[in-house]
Amino acid sequence: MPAWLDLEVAVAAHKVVNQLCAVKTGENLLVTVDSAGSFRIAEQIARAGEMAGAKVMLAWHSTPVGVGKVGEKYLPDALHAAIPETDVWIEVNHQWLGYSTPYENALVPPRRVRYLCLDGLNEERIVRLIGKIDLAAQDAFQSEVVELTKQAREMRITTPAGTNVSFENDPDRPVISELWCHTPGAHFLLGQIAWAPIEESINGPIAFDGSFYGGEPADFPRLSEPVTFHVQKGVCEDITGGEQARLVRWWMKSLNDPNMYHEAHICYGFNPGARPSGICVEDERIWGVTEWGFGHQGIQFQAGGKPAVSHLDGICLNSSVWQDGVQVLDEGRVVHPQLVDLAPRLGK
Amino acid sequence: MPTTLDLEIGVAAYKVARDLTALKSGESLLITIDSMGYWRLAEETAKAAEALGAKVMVAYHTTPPGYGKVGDPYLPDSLKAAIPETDVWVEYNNQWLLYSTPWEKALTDPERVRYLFLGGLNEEQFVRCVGKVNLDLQREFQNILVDLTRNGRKMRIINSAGTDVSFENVPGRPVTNEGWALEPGAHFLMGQIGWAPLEESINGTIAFDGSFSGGGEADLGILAAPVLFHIENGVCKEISGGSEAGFLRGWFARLGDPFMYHAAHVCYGFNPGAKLSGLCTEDERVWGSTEWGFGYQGPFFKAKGINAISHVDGICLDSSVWIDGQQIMEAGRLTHPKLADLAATMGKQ
Repeated sequence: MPAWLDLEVAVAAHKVVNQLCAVKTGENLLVTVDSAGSFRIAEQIARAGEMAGAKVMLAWHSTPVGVGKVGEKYLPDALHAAIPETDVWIEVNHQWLGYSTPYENALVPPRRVRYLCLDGLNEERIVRLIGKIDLAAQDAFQSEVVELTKQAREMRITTPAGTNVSFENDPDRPVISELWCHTPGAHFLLGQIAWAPIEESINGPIAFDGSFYGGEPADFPRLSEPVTFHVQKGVCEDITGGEQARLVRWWMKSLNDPNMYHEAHICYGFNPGARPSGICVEDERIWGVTEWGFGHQGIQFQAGGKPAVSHLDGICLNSSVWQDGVQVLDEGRVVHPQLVDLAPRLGK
Repeated sequence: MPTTLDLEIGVAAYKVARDLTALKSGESLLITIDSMGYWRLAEETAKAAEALGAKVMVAYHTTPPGYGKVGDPYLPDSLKAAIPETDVWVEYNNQWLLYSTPWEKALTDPERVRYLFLGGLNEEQFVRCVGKVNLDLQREFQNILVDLTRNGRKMRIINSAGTDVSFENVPGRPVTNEGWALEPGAHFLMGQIGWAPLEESINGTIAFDGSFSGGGEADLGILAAPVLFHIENGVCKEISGGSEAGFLRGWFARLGDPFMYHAAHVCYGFNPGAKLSGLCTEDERVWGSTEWGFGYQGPFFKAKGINAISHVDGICLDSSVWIDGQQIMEAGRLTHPKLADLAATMGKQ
């Protein structure tokens, strides 16, 4: 008996296996899903892997009580052993295994494992965020945005909620485009382009008006009013707004780590299927948002950030962006001449 | 929405986790199941183990094209790495991982892994052969029979199909008592007691009238007519019977391995839920049967270690057994007083 979205989920699973991960005949494919994740998605990916001729193992396991090393002691030993021993690892977990010891054994540094993180997606989301996407058009669009961003030095971003921040890019730092999982290393859901600006060049207010994710008790999937970070030389000096801003201030103070106030990265969100949903992985990919991270800075940015006890992400909706004085986005709409013809191919 | 046997499978799975493997809170449990296995068994066992506080992983994987090392090249690397790294491993595979390389890594000189083989069972067989069995009675029954056998030297088995075979036991060789995976090592579905007699002492006729399992084309399932192995000094010298016997003569000849004719072990079948089904795992546990293996001899028998290319198993139904002249079974019914009482309590007399 077919279940809701069976055909659409199967299409998305085939895209994940054959296109995003380019699984080849004879390769080893590991799919992990915890008991709080979507087993249907994992099962469909396993089936697609089998059809592609891969040697497939789906590991369905106890849900750890936290993310990364916090959850490690709750993971079965067989899972620890299994993760580093595969060609492709697709994670469909609810509780992310990222930054756990088996994750690090597999991916730091990347040697063999091509890892694609699809955490937090339910059936409806994987259809919108992967299944319905024209991957060739998405690749063309993201590649162009990456090139433009790599070449730009002086950046400015504003939003109707009050963001007005300027900063400088370092031409030697990578601009990470999340789409394909074709090389060993960690890869994430398509539609995000991220980099770390020169930290001390960042100045101005950043007004989060979409959602804010710091982990409990600082997860605010629906901000009732903007939370504004006032940034000077890459460091947040003040947090203003309403009740949620007050809670964020209190939470940041409770962490007792001055490095938590340091800006870590910025991202564009460009997944044409993403909409405000209350989960970070989707919200930060809403078309035309910018997203800022503060606190711990991942090594993939090859930047000058500091280690911190945690990390937070905030979403700025309807961003306007200028690169070296040329406008790229106008309140979330693509206006750059090299992009305006590509966005409509994605329905944008 | 409940489906067929949901509650019964839940009970059987809970018995596997709590009683047969004695999972403790904080232990790691690995459940393997290939795509031809019965997923509900794996899922329900995982749920029961989670309720007991174990750290659970179900490895659902590509079905290899054969048993043991034949399947090695087709197993995902993650599975090979996972198998030795667990406290308890329950196998529900259709194509068994038993005797594969990761199995050997986990279970040769076992120090950690408690392995319970439940390969091939479907939902209904799982309920009959595990869920509905009174474990206390079963254990008491098996323990008595193991002690009798271990202490016996001269054995004779007959059945109505023509079996009449005598042999001698070797003191010191183990008599395996299957059902519980309470210590590191390989353990199997309950209701089987197996051992390797002194090989060259085995003489007479073994008439398989239940089923015959040799893997691949030699998996004959339930037999249409008895297949007789004529044994001299532990070696099958002739195979007689109907068309199935004729096929087996050719099949053995094609294998071209003289060790395939060597008797490797004998077993009693005493699972009160087992029925003749064509599945070797179940058939060799049919109450009152005896089962003979020829060819490769597993290391856990601590016997001669016959190193043959493959292994076959055949079932002799409704066996009569004598140990040192004392009859313990008559046509599949227990005649030993204590065993007969227990069998009656278990509904099998």
